[in-house]
Amino acid sequence: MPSIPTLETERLVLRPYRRDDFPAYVHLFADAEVTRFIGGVPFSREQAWARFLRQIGMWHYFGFGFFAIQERATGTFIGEAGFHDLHRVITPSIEGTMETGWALVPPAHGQGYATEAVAAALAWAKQSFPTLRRTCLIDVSNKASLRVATKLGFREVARTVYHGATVVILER
Amino acid sequence: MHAMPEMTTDRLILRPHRGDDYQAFCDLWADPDVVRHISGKPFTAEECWIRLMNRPGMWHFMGFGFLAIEERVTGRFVGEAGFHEVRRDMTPSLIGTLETGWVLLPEFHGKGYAFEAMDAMIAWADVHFASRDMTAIISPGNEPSFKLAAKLGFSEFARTDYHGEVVVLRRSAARKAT
Repeated sequence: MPSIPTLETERLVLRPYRRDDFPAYVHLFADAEVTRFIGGVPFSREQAWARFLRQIGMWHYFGFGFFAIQERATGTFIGEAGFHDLHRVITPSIEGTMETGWALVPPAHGQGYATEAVAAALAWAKQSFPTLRRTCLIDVSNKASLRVATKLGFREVARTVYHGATVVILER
Repeated sequence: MHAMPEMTTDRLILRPHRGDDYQAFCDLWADPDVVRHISGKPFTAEECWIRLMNRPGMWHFMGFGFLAIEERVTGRFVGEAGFHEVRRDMTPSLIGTLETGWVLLPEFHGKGYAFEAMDAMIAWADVHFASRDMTAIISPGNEPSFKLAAKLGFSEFARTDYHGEVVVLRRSAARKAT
């Protein structure tokens, strides 16, 4: 298994998940505001656990994955950001790309944290996987995430329907 | 991360899952015969992928997990077996136990492969997690699995509702002394 790096930004630490992050992880994905554009339904504890495990598998199989995000000042877990390849059944296909994603607890919204975290992850990706494409999949009504993606240099390449929602596929 | 073990039995190799198991893993979990007593619904390709991604996570956080089963003679992917902690929303809770499971492609049923694989996994667990009870949940009607569980030393201790009625079985840690 490749070692998962730790990245530091001005206000955040992106680091490997720890088993004791799990209660905070449950809390993150039990929030309807967080899941509004991620499946649409708050996760049960059991579903959060499956997602938590999956994040490690991504690193194991691909050498990239999601990071836990910790606020430097408080040490608090505030969310996750990183890359995955979910083999989504979607047209156009984004398989073989580093699909970029992020999710933060609502109190951490509106402070530029997502942009700060994903920018650091993207800088790491550029070093470690220079030849892979970076994509994003965002619900067309998720204005906040579309704004973050645009700020990070992602540009729309397609719109399609995925699991019943209209989504924008972006690439950088 | 805890190292994922590899084991060899008379006829099988138990090893960590690999990304290129995906197709066979989909064949396994999309098979109506395989899922008849496990949720009842074939898994979609996306669900299979996520399940394959989960596997190393269990080893990473818990130090135990599932292994892929390969037939030694042919090198073919047979199925998977091992232990997990699913954190299921059910009573009684199985958290803190080694929940045991095995799933094989139908063409490999009836050869004693599941027993052979689980026997090796249990021997491994008896060394590495000696003080933990093992549990298993099996749907009523899944006679082959009940038979195998009994042979492995499990016995029923509860019935409950988990997406339908299930029987909860246990193999107590104390048993190992015998």
